[in-house]
Amino acid sequence: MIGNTTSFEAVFVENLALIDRIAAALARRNGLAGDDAADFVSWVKLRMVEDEYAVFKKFRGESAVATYLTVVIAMLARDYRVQRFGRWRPSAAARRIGLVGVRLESLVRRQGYRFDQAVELLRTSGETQLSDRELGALLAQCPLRTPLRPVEVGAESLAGLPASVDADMLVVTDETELQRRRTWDALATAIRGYSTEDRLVLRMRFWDELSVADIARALSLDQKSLYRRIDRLLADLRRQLLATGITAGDWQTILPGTDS
Amino acid sequence: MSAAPKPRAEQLAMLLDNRLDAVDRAKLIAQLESDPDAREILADAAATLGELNVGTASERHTQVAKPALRAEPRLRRELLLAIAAVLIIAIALPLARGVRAPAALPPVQNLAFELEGSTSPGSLVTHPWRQLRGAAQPMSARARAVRLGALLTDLEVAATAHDTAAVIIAAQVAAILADYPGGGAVADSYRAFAQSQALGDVSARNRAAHLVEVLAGEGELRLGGWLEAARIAAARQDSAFFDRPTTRVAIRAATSIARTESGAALDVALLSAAVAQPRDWIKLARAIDAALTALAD
Repeated sequence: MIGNTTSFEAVFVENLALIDRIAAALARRNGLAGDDAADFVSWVKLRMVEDEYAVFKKFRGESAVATYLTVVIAMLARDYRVQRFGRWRPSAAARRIGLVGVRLESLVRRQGYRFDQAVELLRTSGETQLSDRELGALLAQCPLRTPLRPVEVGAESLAGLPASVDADMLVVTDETELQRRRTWDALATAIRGYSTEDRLVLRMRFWDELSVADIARALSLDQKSLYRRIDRLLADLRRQLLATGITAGDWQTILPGTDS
Repeated sequence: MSAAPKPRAEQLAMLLDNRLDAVDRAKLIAQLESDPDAREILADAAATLGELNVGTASERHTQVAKPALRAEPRLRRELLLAIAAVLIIAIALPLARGVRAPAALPPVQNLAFELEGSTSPGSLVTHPWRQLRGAAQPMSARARAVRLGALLTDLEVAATAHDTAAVIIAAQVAAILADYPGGGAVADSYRAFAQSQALGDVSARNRAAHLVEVLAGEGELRLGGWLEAARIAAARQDSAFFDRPTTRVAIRAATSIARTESGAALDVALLSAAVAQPRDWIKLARAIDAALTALAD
């Protein structure tokens, strides 16, 4: 703990510029821009002074202030997003693309808009001037994510689909999705045999879609060694999965570009 | 079965700084493996530290031992000026990249309506800014606009309360307007207000205020209006005024307008912090006075 309320306030003021930078960066990562981003930054500052600077009272000085503030604001950003948008979160790929990627992914994958409807919405609201082709390419970079638990799909959702969707196509898509899920389940079973840290690395890389650089930074690991470690784990996993009947094609479907 | 406790923020920060011992690290790694929310927070923090280039883990760690954080936290002018400079860069860069301008503040007439309570007679005619300037110190366009905004707020408050101070304020507005090229006609309107009973005519006041906005520039004038309304609200300990969304808009506008001057940027940053804190009316009033002085001098 640093001291009394006056000293917490002084630390807050001293770090105000840093807080602004961190909050602005996290706003961008969460797809907030313009006034929304400014509102988020103000909200963060408000939360940091609440309860007589409770955030600073909790700080024990065991990490760098900058790191601590970054984690605290990342926590606040998550709360803010859940408050505003619910528990759905944009994919890492959409975040890398930026605001348009997050919005497009949210409209199509979360809210169920057709691609053309989503594009129209983004254009009429002035959020993009990109062409259909460019937006399609951006959406293709955002992976179709497997839900953590099986999702019940009743007759209502089928009734809600546009009539132009080919029924055979639906069957094929359904089968593909089922196979994808089987492959993910097999992968989840296989990684249980690894150490906790290896499992965490794999989850962060392939479930959470983080870059190797971000994982290395998050876990304080050497980036080059981490690349080699992930390659080794993947080769081993692939061998295990192929032995259980998963095909090389299935493997490619869930982890494209990892065929070694 | 009770859910596993969430990792503390500082535990995650220690992992990022490579400051955990082997046992605590193993415990946290196990927690993270089964907690996607904590992983997401850790990942966001890691990516943000990388993006902002806030040093390597070992560099960040050395900051912990720096005495500045542990010593008596005195607000040193040099340090604050440096922060103000960083603030300016942080604010100016997005603006230069064409980020949307903040939503506009309401006209000063509306601000006066947002105030609750009454004002002591005469308090409206004293202001924190310098009353006298040498010939070599002409008032900047911004200072004139901010002062006009503040005075128009005072005029609205005084006229609505039938306070005789309104006459003096109208004369002060006229004096500033006389300095504007082409401001003579509007200045005459305010001189007329000061000499007649027309001050009670709301429509006439609104028409004249609109012309002043056109002449002086809407953004800075309305900011001056808000700062003066905030000064009155702080004196009346009117919490509702500061809880309105207009406060955020005003702080954004002030930040944007003050960005090119480190002193003014610092005062606005301190005002932003004072507004965000639980109400300390004396401190808030001082912060408003300082920001108003910085922008109107």
